[in-house]
Amino acid sequence: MTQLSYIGIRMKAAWIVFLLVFAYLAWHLYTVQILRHEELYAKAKKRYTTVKTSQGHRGEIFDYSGNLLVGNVPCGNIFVDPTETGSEAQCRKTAEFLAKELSLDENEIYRDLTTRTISIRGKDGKSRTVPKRYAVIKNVIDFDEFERLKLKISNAGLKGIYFRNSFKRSYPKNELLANILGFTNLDRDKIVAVIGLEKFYDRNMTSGKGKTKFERSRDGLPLAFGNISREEAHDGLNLYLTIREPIQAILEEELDKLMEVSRASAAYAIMADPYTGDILAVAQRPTFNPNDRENMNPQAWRNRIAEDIFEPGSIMKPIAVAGALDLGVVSPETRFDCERGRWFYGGKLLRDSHSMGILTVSEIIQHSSNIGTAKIALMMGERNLDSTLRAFGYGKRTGVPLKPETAGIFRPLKQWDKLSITRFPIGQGIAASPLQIVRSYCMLANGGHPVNLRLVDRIENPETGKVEKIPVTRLPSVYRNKDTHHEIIEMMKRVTEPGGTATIAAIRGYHVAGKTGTAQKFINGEYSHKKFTASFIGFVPADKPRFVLLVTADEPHGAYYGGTVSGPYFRSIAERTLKFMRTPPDMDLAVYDAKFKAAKAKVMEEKRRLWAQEARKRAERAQRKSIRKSQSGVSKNRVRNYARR
Amino acid sequence: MNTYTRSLKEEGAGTGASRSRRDGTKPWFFAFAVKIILMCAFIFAAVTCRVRYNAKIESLNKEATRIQMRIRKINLISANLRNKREELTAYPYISAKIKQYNLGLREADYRQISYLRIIDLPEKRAAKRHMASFSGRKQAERTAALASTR
Repeated sequence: MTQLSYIGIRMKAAWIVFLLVFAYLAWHLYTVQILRHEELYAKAKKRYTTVKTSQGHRGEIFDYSGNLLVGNVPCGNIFVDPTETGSEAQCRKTAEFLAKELSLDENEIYRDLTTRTISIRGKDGKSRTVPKRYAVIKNVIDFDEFERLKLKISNAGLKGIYFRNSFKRSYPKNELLANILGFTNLDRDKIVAVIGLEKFYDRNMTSGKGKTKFERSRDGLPLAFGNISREEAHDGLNLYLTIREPIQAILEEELDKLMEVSRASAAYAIMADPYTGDILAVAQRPTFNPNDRENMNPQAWRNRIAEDIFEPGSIMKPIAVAGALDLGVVSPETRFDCERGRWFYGGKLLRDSHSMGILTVSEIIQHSSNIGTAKIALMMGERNLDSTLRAFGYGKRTGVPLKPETAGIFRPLKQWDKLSITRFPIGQGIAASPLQIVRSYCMLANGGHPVNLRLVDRIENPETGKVEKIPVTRLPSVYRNKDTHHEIIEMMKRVTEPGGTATIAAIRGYHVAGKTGTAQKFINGEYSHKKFTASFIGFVPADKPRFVLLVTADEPHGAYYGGTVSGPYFRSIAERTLKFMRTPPDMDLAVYDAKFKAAKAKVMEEKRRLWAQEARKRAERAQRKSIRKSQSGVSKNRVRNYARR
Repeated sequence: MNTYTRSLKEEGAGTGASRSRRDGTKPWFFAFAVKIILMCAFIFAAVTCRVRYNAKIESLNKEATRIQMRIRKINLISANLRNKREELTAYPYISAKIKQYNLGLREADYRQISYLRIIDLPEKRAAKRHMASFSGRKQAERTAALASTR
């Protein structure tokens, strides 16, 4: 065999080997690229593709000027991957360290650290054991504390401990406006709105989830040339309320004083702008601190201003009288006999708080005569009274963004009985929510224009900066007579002037138009003689009001008259608010003092005259009695003598 | 004799030994090698550039991620501080402090307040003064110019 043939064989063998290798590679390539493409591509993609989810921020709530009322505050969570925690000795050491730092039970942490598998039930119904990669050590840790712990735990070199930043809902003003704002709870990772504006605007304020899918390098960072698909997380909408925080603080402070002094079971106050219907401040007691969930009393959650109803009592009188004035049935000087405080109508007795004789319509309002008001209503007639009260919004919801909201109790005209016409205008047999009462007084203050109460002024999209203003509705006046407004205001001014039922609510330098309301509570089918609702509602300055303010104490102890219980707090809230609003006094203080003194002197003179008249009448009665006695003595003697004979 | 052995004698030494030398030009493989080297150098340069460029992008990417994380942390700190500021500036907190430290602060009484009506606003006055001085300067210049021409 020649050398050439050897070379040929070797060449052939090499070729064959080369072809075989090539064939194998081609086959492998075919398998990888064609046959197992989907499977391997998915496997690879899973390895280098990461999905990161993010959550936008829930919408925040601000007052009118942008002071934060409800916000999102950063916090932290510490969790553990039990598959990475190391030996039992290491776990014990870690548990000891964490328990000391986080003030938690060491054994519980140890159990979390060493429970490395978990049994789950699959879709086929069979249970199987899978590695446990996640256990929460502590949730919602305050940001500063979390940062400190993070540094300390990182320095300690503990294995398998992870940190995650998150946000929690915060109420930086604590009790301030708590009932209106409401609160949210956390159900696992989901925010659940419970009450108040948080619930009403939940859909608007809820944030959207974002998802970023990217190809990552070994260190987890996105590859520069990798595919990135991004769905941006979006923040919830921000609410700007009509509330003014400083006024709200004044209101809450004074309401606390009212609760302390009157020892009432509940109290509430509402202040509203009569022209726009903006609620400037609103507070209720009892209340709660949304940041302190442990001591939260579910009874305090209820939004009494929207949900509760009460018989307004004398607060209703100016509404009925305004209707009568507008219809021309009466004038401010029309006189009514108030029957010395006792009047039978429809077989039932109607009383006044004290004996009153003949009074003008103005005096009926000033002295708050039930009998006088009932007689005015009788002159109006049922149909007119019904239409007047309905025009002032009784029986209708105010439309504030609070749920549930009551429409009150105001029977349809068909269901009125004989007494209704004498009881409704004095606030008996009719029930309204505090919001409804404030709305009707807004109408009295602004010249009869119906307003919708507003609690939210504008809604802002924080991403686009787009602001949607909630419109102010202003409808034509319900008054047909242009003098009605002026006349009723003048009458209501007299309530806080000397001789009125609420001189204590007068504010030096300002004309205050208002009305007291003392209503017996209707308990178990009858009017209680021990439990009352004491209210005062008014507006300042009377001729061009800056606000309408209602102060109500529910079941006060001791004094129970609206003027005595709520009047002083009306004055202090109004006085402080007027200073805050920089509203100068209506008149010079010296002039006011002089006028007030003169009015007081006039009232005293009138009282002295009445006392003298009373004393004269008493003397006459005594004289008549003695004459009758002596006469009866004489006649008895005569009878005795006659009998002897 | 090996058939593959070439005889210089038979084929002649000077005829087919070197074509280039015969033509008086550079050897052909030298030109080829230069071309290959150039091509390789070009590819090497391109790949190196690309690698460096990628590395730079990656490092910038990492830097951007670090900065993003830092921004995120600063945002968290600022959100936390904003919340604290709101807590501390809340009226109930301030009034509680006033009560706690028994500070003699109270709201002003109306007798202490007087309302002033500013008729001539300061900025208007300043603008007027400026205008006056400007026109005065112009007048002086004009007079000086007139004097010089005379």
